Amino acid sequence: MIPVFAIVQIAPRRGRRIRLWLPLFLVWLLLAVLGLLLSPLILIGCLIARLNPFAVIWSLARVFAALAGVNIEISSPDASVLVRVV
Amino acid sequence: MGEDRKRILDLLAAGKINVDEAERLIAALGGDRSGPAADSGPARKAPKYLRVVVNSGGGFDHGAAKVNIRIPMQLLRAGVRLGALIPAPAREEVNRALREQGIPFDLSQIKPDNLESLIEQLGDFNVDVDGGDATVRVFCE
Repeated sequence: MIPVFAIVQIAPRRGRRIRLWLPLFLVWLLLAVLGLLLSPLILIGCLIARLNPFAVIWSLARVFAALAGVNIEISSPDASVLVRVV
Repeated sequence: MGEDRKRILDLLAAGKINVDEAERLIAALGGDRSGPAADSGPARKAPKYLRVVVNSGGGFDHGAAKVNIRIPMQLLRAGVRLGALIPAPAREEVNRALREQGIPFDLSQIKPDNLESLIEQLGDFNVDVDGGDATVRVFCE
């Protein structure tokens, strides 16, 4: 399943904690529109590189879909950062 | 329990064969996975995540640091499938660069079929480095 949200949290030791819920489904929509607009260029690029454009699009979609479950937490004495894709 | 195994155990109980012989016979039956006893063994599950955990007591100049990363294996699969689309000339370039770095590896050898068995084997993968101040663990779960 394609991830729909990403949570990004930045918490400095001093200062304000930032917690963002990024709606990835909007990003996917934007990418879809952008992909449609750029489809002639993508097609030409695939023809030059001798690649199947459908295979490329399908593989990229699989990569995006596989992002669900990624969890990155880094904390140092000064700040902590969390990135979670759900 | 399989009929053959039961017979071997009966022979062992009757004292007609010793423990070593029984063990050898049961091991020889190992290829037969039809019995319920064989099915009841723990099945190896493919790991779902690659985990990297770093705990540093004083890794930074002033205090402890922690890193906890969880990457789905699905991403690895998707990445390999995407990598299979690399055009042959580019793949050759990558292979050449790897060879120059002392890594004689052919990217074209990573295929989805090989990948599944690789991921399955990764279930036993565990790197544990304890460096006094810091510990690093890379494992699959």
